[in-house]
Amino acid sequence: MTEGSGKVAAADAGAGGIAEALAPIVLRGGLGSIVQGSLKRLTAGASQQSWVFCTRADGGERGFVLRRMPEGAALLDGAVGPEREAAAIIAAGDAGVPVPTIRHVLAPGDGLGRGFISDRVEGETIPRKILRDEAFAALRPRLADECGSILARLHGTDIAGLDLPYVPPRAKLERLRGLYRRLGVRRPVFEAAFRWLEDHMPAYDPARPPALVHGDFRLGNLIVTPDGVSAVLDWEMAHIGDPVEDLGWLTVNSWRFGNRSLAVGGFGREEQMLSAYAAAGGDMVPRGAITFWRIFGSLNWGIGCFEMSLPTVEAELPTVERAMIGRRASETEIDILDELLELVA
Amino acid sequence: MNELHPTMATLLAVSLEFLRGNLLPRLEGADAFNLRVAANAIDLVRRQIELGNDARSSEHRRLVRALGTEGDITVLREALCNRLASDPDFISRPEVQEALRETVLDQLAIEQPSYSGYLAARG
Repeated sequence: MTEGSGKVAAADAGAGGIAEALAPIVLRGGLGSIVQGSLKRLTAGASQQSWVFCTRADGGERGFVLRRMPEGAALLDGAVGPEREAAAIIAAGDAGVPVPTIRHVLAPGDGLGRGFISDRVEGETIPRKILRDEAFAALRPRLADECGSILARLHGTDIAGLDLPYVPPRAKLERLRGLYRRLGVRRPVFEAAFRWLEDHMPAYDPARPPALVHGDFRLGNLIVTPDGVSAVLDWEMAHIGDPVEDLGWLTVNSWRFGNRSLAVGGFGREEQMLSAYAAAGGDMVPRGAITFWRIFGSLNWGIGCFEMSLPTVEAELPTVERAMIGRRASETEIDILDELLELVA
Repeated sequence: MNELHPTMATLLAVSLEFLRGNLLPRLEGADAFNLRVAANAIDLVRRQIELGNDARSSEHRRLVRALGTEGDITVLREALCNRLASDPDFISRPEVQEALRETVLDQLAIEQPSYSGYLAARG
């Protein structure tokens, strides 16, 4: 969309400037020339901007994605920044995880802030479509197995060259507590959850060494086709830690999108995921470890809801989307209670 | 007349009807998404006006029972937070469990009445 087109939608304001800065980078990278008017802002992604665009090269058209944070924008608590995010994507890709190929990591001289350009992978990301559309009906019964084996490969990624923070369970809990205190909200259920998690910390098991953890592996961050998962997205929370965290996170009720009885992402059973995980080289995981990370996950998302709803340095008022996310913290409270009250009974 | 007419509930209902029934079908993309979220926000406020006072007084009553002491609701909430943070056994008491669970469910009735966890408990 160029500045002269005169039909720039509100959400696409600034597209002209971005297209202008993007053109020479894309050309230099040998990705072709940007198709006029093809640059569009995606609505998804509350913390970073995602843009899609097409280029023409050798007679064909190709799709790309630009992930960017505007100059001076703050990272969410725990986010590693786009440069390290790109490095994690590349390493996981080498380990056999389906990821979008990274084409360029933005440098200060590029004039676009921080971020990276990757191939656009075709498929569906909207959870409710993946869970309800007929096109995915044949895939759904085996999607938990597929997630289990992808996670096994992801956790087997060579972490030697990755400059990612090491965040073991206790540090993870303390970091979340730090965020909770900074936000200045207190909720009885969250206080009880912190107490329980602190008293039930997973024991360090030398047989299960720290691994690459995605940190947000769930529907919404997976590109899915009727054949299976074609890409794992949104690596901004990647870190080195307890791999069971990813397995537990995928079973948090918030990520079942209404299909409460199917623990894994609203599409499968825990046993399914865990046996596929073990079959693909992952470790045997004790059930209790998943429970710890599921409760942690609900607490994490609940506090994240508050975090996103607060004013930022750039704006006194949050967007309507972010404001309403703040009123979803209570969803995680009932989920935490459903687990905790059974455990303490 | 002890209430102004049309009532707040009516004004919110007609506004929502216009936004969702009339305006939304004519929008697409980000505008449609944001309008839907904005309408949901107004609907939430409508439920809070309708249910908020009862929810608050029920919460207050449960807090008094759970803590065994009278006091201002914000003070009691804070006291419950402190007690749950420091005493791992406090949550085992039935009156504490009731204070937590019923209060969260009342809040969900206002904030997210279609959430699966709410429907499973009160649906």
